[in-house]
Amino acid sequence: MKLPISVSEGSKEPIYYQIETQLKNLVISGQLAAGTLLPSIRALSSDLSCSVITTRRAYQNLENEGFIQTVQGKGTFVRDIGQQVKAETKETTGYSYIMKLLKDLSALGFSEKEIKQLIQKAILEWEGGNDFE
Amino acid sequence: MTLSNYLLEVEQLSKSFKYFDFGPVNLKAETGTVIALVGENGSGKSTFFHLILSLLKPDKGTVTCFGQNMHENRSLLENIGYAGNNLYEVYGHLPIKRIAKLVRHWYPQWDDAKYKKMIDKYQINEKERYQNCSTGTKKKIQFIFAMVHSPKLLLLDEPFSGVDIISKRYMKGELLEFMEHPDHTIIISTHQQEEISSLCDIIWLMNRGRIIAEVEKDEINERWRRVWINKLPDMIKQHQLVIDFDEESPSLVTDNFLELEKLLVQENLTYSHQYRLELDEILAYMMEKGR
Repeated sequence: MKLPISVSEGSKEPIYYQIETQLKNLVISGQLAAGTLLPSIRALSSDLSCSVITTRRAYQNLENEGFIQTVQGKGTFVRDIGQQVKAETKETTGYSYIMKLLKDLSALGFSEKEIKQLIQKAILEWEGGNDFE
Repeated sequence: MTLSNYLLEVEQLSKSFKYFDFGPVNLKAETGTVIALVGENGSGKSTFFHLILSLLKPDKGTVTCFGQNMHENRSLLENIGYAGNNLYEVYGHLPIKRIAKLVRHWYPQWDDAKYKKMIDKYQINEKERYQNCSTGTKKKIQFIFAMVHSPKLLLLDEPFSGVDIISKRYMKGELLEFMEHPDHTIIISTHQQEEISSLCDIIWLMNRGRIIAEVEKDEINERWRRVWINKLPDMIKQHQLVIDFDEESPSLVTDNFLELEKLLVQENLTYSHQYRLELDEILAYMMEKGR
């Protein structure tokens, strides 16, 4: 099984963290259903050209957070995290995206007022675009 | 005997030749890892394998495998698979089928069914004399002979050189499958970045018979960066964190990005982009430094 995960060359985030967040997103968005068998640590490492040390760390963190579960001799599976946790995690993730965006815009030199205007403009255009779908 | 996390331990291993001194080398190979042995031609990679396998007698030092002394206990070889040159050359005039019969005697766990399957898979003509085979075919035969007795430790000396694309994919698949077993370990010497990237966890860098670096692949991957910077003052160019620089499009190469970031803040400099380097760029820089 190949997972739609990729490691960014220009990112400052550690590789294990990139794998962890992308895999978490696949779980909370429902793209990976509960019970799905994940690739072995060795297979995923090979796909992503990283070491088992890195991939094991990502899997271990996700296991500690309750997103996946390793069954001895059978492999690692996606856990049923329940609707409430899913919704909560989704919100936290969405929130962190917005925070990152605000930080980036602020670094570019936008004021709070300008950021609000820009976001409002983007939302309007995005809604308009959605109407045509 | 205490259980060790290390499948292979090498202590003070050394041997002198007329024009080459190997060692002293001290190394430990952790169980469950794939280690890339990287170095320039003639740096001692094959000698290292031959010393581990007792194909060469060391002047000094010990090799401990599965917790036991390798030179005193030849039966340990039954759990090792070796693919490299020099082993079958003396039988070069024989057809592959005959050599297989000889090799079979060395390994009690030799699996005939597995052998037949692999000969078919890699399309080896068993009637051909070994010496008449192409470089790639010889590599494939060495690989098959290394795998069919289900070893725990694989020592692979440039297993992919000259091997065609399809067979290379098969070999990689088999090595990944081999590593699904938690007690298995591979040491592989290779010059091919792609194989190091997709197979290996640890890199041992060899130069003139010595190990000049033992690194985690992802650690160097994360630390080494090319950074585009607003200006390049002399202080930066000469700094020990800066391995290389380019004046034309002001940029530098560092082996410790986190520390470099601090330095730039200190010096009131800013960077616009930063990227990881290709693994072979990093390895080339490291090898040049160790020359």
